[in-house]
Amino acid sequence: MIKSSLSRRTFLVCNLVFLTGLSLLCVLPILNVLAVSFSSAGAAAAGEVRFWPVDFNVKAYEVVMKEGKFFGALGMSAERLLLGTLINMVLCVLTAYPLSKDSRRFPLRTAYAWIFVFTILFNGGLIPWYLAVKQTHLLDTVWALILPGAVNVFNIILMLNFFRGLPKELEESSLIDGAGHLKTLFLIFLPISLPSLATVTLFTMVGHWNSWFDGLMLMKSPERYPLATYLQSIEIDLSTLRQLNLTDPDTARVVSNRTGRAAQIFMTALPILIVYPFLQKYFVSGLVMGSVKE
Amino acid sequence: MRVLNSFKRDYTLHLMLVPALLLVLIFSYYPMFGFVIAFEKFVAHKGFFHSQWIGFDNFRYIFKMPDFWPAFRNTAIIAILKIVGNLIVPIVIALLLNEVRQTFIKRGVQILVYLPHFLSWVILAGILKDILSPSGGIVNELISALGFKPIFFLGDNHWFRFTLIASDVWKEFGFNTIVYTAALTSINPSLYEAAVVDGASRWKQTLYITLPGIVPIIILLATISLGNVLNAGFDQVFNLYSPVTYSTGDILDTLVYRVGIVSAQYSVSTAIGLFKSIISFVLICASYGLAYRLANYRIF
Amino acid sequence: MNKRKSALVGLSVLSSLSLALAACGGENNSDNGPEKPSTAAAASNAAGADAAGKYDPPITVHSIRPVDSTVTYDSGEDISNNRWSEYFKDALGIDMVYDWTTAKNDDYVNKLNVIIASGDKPADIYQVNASQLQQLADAGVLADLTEAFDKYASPLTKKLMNGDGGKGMSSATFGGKLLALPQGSATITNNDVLWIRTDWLKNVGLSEPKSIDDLVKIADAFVNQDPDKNGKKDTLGLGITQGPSPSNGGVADLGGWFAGFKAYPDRWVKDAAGQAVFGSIQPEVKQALAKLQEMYKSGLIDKEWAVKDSDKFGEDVLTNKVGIWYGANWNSMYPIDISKNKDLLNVKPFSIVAVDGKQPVMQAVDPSVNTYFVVSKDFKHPEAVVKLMTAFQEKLWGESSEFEKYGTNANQSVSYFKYPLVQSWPATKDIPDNLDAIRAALSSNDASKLNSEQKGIYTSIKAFNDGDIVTGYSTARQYDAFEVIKKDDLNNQLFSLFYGAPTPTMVEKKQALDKLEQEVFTKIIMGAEPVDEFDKFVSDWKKLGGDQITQEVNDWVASHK
Repeated sequence: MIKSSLSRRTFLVCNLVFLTGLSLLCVLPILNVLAVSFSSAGAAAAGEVRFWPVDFNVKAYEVVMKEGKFFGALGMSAERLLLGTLINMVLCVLTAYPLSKDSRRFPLRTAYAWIFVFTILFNGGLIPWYLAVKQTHLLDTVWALILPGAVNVFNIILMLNFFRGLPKELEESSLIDGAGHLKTLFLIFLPISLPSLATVTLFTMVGHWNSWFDGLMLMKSPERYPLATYLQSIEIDLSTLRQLNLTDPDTARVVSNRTGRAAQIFMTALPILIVYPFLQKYFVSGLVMGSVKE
Repeated sequence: MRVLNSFKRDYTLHLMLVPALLLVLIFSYYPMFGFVIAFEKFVAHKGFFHSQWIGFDNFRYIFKMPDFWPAFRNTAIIAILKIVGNLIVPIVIALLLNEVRQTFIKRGVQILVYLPHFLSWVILAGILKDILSPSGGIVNELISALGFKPIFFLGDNHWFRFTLIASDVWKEFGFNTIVYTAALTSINPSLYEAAVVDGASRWKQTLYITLPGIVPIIILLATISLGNVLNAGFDQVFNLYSPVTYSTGDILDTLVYRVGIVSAQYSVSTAIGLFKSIISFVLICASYGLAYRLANYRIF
Repeated sequence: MNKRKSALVGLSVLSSLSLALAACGGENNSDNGPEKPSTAAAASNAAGADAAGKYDPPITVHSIRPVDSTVTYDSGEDISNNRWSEYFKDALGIDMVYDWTTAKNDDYVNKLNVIIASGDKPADIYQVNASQLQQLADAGVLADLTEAFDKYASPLTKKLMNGDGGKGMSSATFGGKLLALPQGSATITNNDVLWIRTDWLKNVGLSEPKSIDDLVKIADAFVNQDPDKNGKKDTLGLGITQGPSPSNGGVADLGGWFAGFKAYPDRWVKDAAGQAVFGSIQPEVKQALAKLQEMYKSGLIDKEWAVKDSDKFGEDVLTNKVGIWYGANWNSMYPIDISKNKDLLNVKPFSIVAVDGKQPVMQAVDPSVNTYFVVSKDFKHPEAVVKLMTAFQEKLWGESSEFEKYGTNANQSVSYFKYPLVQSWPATKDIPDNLDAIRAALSSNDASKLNSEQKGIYTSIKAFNDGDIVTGYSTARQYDAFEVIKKDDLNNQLFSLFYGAPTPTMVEKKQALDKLEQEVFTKIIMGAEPVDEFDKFVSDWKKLGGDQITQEVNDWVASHK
């Protein structure tokens, strides 16, 4: 350590500078969007807004939040997020565990794995998907937003690879002790898989929070839209302007979508930004294996 | 026999898979009947099973579309380069982050680079048009300051694909870094301790411990991303391309979109979708087989 | 992308079921019960319905629709319960129930397409776009409205629905059967005007353009003579947005420019032999493109125009970068935002100009109807849609009209006319009706004869004249644009010969042809290809399905004489 300290120090400094620069590169556009969301529509349209709001106001947020619909949608999203994440995660670990077994130990695992992987690549299209949800009588319920996507194969594959990385002896000793697979999974595997669990949970939550298309197709009225669908739906399509004539002068006046869109981004990103730091503490390197070894 | 035994011995393992299998059956496999319309002249009111069967005519039709092969080429080029970029950059960043000792900075950087993931392409397109503008955009001012000629990133076919790839990597690398960061946590710290005792430098540790430690995840993500080999990112391209850059920027998804605008041609878009899926499937099979043969490693 | 997005569509067919439900009692009946006593017999007579005008017992009509965020309400009202729904219940005995709504038109079209394709029946009465209408007509699932329209449409409705010379009604007629009611609107309002910064004109010592040459001179001066007097060469010439849009009615489109060369891209025009031909491949287009290329080469068109959409172009307008462009009458509302830049007060609409210097310049418009209202075949009361239409038009423009109650409120902040689903507008509403009425009121200072919509406009323009620029600019300048359009002669308009649903070959090939056109036009203007590339485009266009489309269009035209 000591002998390499000079080059090491240079590296560390450069590294810090580089990463800081990179972070700035990622943050500045966001700051710009944040500033736009608090600026007047006119200033935004004129491209005057840089990193500080011009003509500070919260109109964009007011518009987004006016009407009861916003809070309804918020509730819908919260319900979906909680139930959906829970179900996704339970299914994820339940499925990843058997699939993580060696094929000598569990010969059918490979066949099962392919059954799941196949579904990432092939999907029957929008209409059959809609029919499946309709025929299971889930339309217009929160379950329509949860069950069709409850098996996230990408997350399962990620999880099963993390499980594989765990020491074999753990599982063997647990099974020898007479614990079943379920017990092994929940009492032995999960507690030492917190980093991967945190990762997959994060992905799942972001997925649920941000997806809007299913809400649009599967919910009857805007009153039952989840937040992402609702936020997406308050924008006005500029192309409709082209067909406008005076039967609809109001539309022409409301068209600044820019501030609204910006506000919308923050509404969607905010909860995730709040949750992320809490999940992050599980990413601390080395924690897991260290504790196992002791 | 082996299979039968497995059912008896490992019934818990099978049972654990049942809920997911059921859901996949209902919401993924059942809707696959929709593929029939790729072989039909689908007419909505006649339905999936009574529309006229025309065999491979839809495929012949799309392969003959004047825009199809250029779009196919663009898609493949853009998607593959994005896959490569989205694989390498996050690994490098994850490794660099791994060297940072100050937890505070480490976490801060992680959150900040994750932010662009939340920006939609509609918004980003507006920002990119500003900063990339050849007259007064900040990027081009920098380029001019360095003594080069301004570059019309969004209007020049030599640069358009590069712009797409670079902006996509910029938007997503923070998100992708998370997986590697999680993978890094599963490397046994005792390996590092042993290396230190042996007098290995940090660079050597990275090369011989850290990197091999996350190789399985790298292979895994690389393989899965092959599923996107014909997905070049509709939202991004749609918001950034224009008639000047059609020749390098038009991709299969924008083609399908335009086909869809004129009228809902479900048969054609399903056929294109099926074609994309089959290609991805073949590639994934190949790389799965390759990893198994060469490294005796089952990716999933 | 600049192509017109297909408008709206609606489907639905729950009729017999819905009637059964209504008969079974439950909420519906308890809702309707107390409202039964009606004072509306007279109103419905006035509306032209016959003695059987009111359904007794009332019927329930299931419907679906988009309700965007511009639909606003007085307190206590919403899309299902408002003055119009009350009126329909009282006067017609019709209870409209929306099974679902969307907040965007595109979403509506998407969702409806999925429902149609999945074999569901969405509602009783619903709105569709032209290609959906064609599909549904082919499928034979629509009710024939011929008889119902004859019998139940009031004289006023018959007149207004044929106000476009019968084009809309004809496009809704299949094999002699009227299968839909078209949502009429005016075509004249799609005409382009030239929007010019008059303060810049003054600064460079030029006056209003009378010909394309004048326009080029102005563009040149706007680029080279520092029209904004800020000492910097930071201004642009003729504004164009990406695409480019070769037809009129947009923001910084090229429809007006092409018209100046008697070129009508994207429209179907008559050739010397009386056949319908596609405007984009006519030799006049080549000249118009050549001139644009010349301007581009000499810097009179923004180098970056090809990647600027209307939002980006709007930035250039607001930041004093651009001072001349072709656009629709509503450009005074968007992209111009007077509250941001008061100097834009000086942007005024002018007549478009021709290469030969002759005025007025004839523009071509597409009389296609975007939205139709259809009734599903198994709905027992197909005439209900005619009654709803009749009632709508009667209450807004008939003898018993109450525009203040059913049109807009006094300051135009709430548009009640948006509540009913089934509606169609007189082709002459803005030009000349409102325009003339308001001009008359302004000169006589007497607003008493105006309806409330006109009063709102009158107030805005008056405010503008009295110096309240921010409130009044949009409307005042829009009416200036109307004035320009009217002056250039109402009848001097060329109608695209084809206004039906996409023909079979259009469905297959049109997107590829449109893309080819955009690409070639863009490259020629930017000088990336020589002007002669246009000839290759013409032969490519014909080869790639254009000839076939032309044939189909001619067949269509022949059958819609």
